[in-house]
Amino acid sequence: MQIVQAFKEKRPSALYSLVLYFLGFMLLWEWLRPLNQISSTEDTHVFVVFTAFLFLITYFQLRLWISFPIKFVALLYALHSLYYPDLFLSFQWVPHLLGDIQANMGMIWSRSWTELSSVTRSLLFLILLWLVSYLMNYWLTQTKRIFLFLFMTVLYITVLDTFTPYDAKVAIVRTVFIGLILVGILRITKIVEKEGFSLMKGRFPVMWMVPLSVVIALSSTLGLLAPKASPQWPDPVPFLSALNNSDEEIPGDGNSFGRIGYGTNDSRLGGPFKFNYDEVFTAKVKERHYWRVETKDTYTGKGWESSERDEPLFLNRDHVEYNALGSNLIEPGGAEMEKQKASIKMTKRYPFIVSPGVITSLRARDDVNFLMHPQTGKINTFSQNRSTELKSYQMDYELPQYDEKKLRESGGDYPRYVSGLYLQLPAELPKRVKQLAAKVTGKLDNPYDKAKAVENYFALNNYGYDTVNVRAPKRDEDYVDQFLFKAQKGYCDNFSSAMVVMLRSVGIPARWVKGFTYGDYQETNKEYKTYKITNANAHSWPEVYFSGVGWVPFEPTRGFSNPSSFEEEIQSAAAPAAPAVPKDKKKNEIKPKQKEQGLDKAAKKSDAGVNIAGFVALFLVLAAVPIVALFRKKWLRQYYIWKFRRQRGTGTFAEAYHRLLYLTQLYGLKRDPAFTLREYAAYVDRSLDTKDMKVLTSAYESLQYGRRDSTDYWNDTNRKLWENLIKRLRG
Amino acid sequence: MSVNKARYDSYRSELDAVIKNIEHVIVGKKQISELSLVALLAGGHVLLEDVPGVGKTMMVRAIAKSLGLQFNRIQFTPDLLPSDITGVSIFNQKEMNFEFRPGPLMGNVVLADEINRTSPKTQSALLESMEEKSVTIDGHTHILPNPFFVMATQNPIEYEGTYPLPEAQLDRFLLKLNMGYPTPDEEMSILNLMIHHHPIDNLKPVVTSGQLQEMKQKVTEVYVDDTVKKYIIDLVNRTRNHRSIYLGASPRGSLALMKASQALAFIMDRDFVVPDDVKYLAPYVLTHRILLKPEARFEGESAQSVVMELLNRVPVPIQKDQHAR
Repeated sequence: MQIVQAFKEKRPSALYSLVLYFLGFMLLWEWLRPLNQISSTEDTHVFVVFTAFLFLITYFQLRLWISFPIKFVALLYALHSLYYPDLFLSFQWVPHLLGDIQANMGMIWSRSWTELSSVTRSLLFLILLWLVSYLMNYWLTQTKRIFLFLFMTVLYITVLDTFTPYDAKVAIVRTVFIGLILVGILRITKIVEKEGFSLMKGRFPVMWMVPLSVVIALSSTLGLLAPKASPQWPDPVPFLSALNNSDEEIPGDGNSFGRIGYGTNDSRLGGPFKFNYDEVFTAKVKERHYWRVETKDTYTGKGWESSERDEPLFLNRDHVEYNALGSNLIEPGGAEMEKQKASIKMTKRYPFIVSPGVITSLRARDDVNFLMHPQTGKINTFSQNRSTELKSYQMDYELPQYDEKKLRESGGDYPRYVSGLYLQLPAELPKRVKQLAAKVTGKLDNPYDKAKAVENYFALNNYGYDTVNVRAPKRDEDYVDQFLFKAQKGYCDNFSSAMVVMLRSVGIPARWVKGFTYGDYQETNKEYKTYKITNANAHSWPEVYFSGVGWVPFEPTRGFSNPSSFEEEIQSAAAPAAPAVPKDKKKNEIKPKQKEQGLDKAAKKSDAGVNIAGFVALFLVLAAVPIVALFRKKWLRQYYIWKFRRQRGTGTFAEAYHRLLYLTQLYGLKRDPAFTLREYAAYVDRSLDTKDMKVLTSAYESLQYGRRDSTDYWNDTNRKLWENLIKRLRG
Repeated sequence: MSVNKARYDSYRSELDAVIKNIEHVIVGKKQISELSLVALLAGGHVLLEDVPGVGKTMMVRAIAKSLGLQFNRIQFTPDLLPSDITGVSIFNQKEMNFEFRPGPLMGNVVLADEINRTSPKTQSALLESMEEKSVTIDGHTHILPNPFFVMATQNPIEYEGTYPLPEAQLDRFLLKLNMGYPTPDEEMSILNLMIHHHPIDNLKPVVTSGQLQEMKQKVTEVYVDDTVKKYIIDLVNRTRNHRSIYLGASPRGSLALMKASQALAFIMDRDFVVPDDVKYLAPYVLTHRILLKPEARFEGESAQSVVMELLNRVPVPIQKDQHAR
């Protein structure tokens, strides 16, 4: 009796499928794990939970009309929890979602993937997960093959490990381990099915798992413990990115990993980061410019520190003697000054203010005191002796307009407090840095031209802008040395530090400034323009001291240009092109207009989302191809019926007939090329138990072999026969 | 179109009547009667290869009678002379001139029984007249009656004292048919049918000679699409390159296949040929036109099996542009 029962119950035991689905889910999870590191996707747990839920529902093997709605609601819930703060059941979010989808359909059709809103992207991604879970179910329970997927997973992880900051050391072990178990179980199942002897017991041969687990455990342990050969090939990343960076303006444009905002600790610089587009503050100004926060004077070989020695000073808010007090931004008479006003609204609260340069007066809440550190130029805000954060403040300030002639004439006699602090270099600084600096500046006779030469050195030697494929210097490496000679690419910190260090090594005082670039244009109100400054605008740049002029900002970072104003000498051949007008800010010089008009949040997000969009698109395509191919039987049927209901005109009948031939063959009714249509029609009719194919075929014959006009063949009668045949195709 | 259709229907009924007529005499050989009609309508001749006593003669007579045609029979023997079949000029002493006495060939439907028993000289006299539809005697050309339809039989069993027809001669028959034995049921019907008198005596013509001429004309008008022609050529061409075949079918073979297909399409009430016609007729049209290699014959292959193999291999054109290459 038991045997008979086992024969009847072909369904595998519940535990067996549970294990299968669980392992399958674990494998798919490996695809999701790196997402928050390699892209700007946050809340990856939503995707993971959603996937787990899909697997769970599939595990219960509910009927399609039950499971589909459940999964669909789960999808909506996941989407809701990602983007809409209101209650799920309030359904107020539904119109938003629909509107968003509608707005994005056009972009999908025009294939502007990067323009998609994040809601749509997430929706697509969720659908993709759904499809993949379906596919995995198919692999696990139907074909019982998972090796291809395992292979793809390993490939995916290794590629990520090589080209992104994602560290896949553990992931790869996990994947291989899970994958091997899964492959092993499926293999056993196949053997059992093929030989048919599980039917004798009616269950999975658990005993077989013992040797399998032993083998996997042994090989994994061995693999983990065995000594590993060092890489046989050089790291491909620098080579590949060097190839890529020949047109270096674009890289780094939003392609970023890790996170950065404005931080105070710069003692260890390096490594990749990811842009964060959270707003920091908005500024209303007449002319855009960089916003300084503080300067640092001591280069440690790893980063920057401040040798703060002076006491902070209280500022008189109505008359800030900002310039006089040690910061020495502009020496008296060093440059022409232009009076300006600015109004700042903070979104992020910081206990310091951002400053445009030479502040003359500050306006804020009455209870607030401003305390300035003369050396760093940082102005902290206090209220009742406690650090406080301002929501908004206004200031009057002066923007310097530097005279290049004056800069060139400025000699090498520096005040003591300048040369004492700002020529510092660590003793361990590799000699080749100095040698390089000497080589770059050697032939030039004045500090300004030397500074310009160093500033332009990076562009002339194709140093790339890159925030992604940059590794932090090793323990024994110097930050600047590594950038100058090994990586040859990086972001603002690399360029600015390198310039400062190089200048210092040839005896020109320089310092490292931190702050923000001018941000994204929002709107104009009278003559004041509003800019939005986000964490992504955090920036660093060098300032160089010129006797009689003061501290002059430079912009060595690739893709950025100096917003400070320079009055050019007429004969300035010695200074090769440095954009001197307050022109442009950031990275993408190619499309400054677009940037300026600030294509709003979506545009910027998509900027950052190029990655995930790319990944999603790629993943989608890769996953869609087999799915589409796999289910083509079903959707092709529907599609043809839909299509030919509408189609009219000559040739339609012949086309429809050929589509029918294709479908019948797809459904296993193969036509030998030596079959005549009648023979095939008879075969089809026999298989489908109809006579319709014969009728259609004789109509087609008179079209094909007789001299008939095809117009009246696609009539209702023939179309019904045709549809009937298609509907009869099964399995 | 409806007028045309009606016209075709009437032919169909006439053809049905002929076949039914034949069936009165020959039990269970509808296929053979149909194929004989194909040959007749296509203006060709038939070679019947079978053992004696299966009704070859009766069938030919039935056809002739149904169509109201004159039936002649020639029993071929080794001593038969050409003049014995074509006719001879005899000096009429009363009139003092030579007078032509027509031989048995001068009929509409001629049964040439056991054609392989006579000498090649006489054989070729028959075959030439079949091709030319005329005989020349003493410098006078005598046109054979129209329609002229020869049904030759040969016995595949007894080869003693026979003169097998050479390939070039066989080529002149449009179709080669085998009657085959009737099934036991059919044989029972035959016995029942013949118990009192032979049904052939009661057969009445169902088609006039004029109608037959009209039908023959219509057959030539049956449309053959280029794709179907290509299929024919493809098929025939492959007999020339087949590994088991020593001599393939000639262009006359292609022509015969096409003409026969037209006639079959006509009988099937169609005004165009479909590949099925070609496929159906190919074994009857092609097997006597190809010569197998001795080694193939030793391996048990026959012309029949080779043609069937070709039919199972040559792709059938199902789309116009497929062959527009």
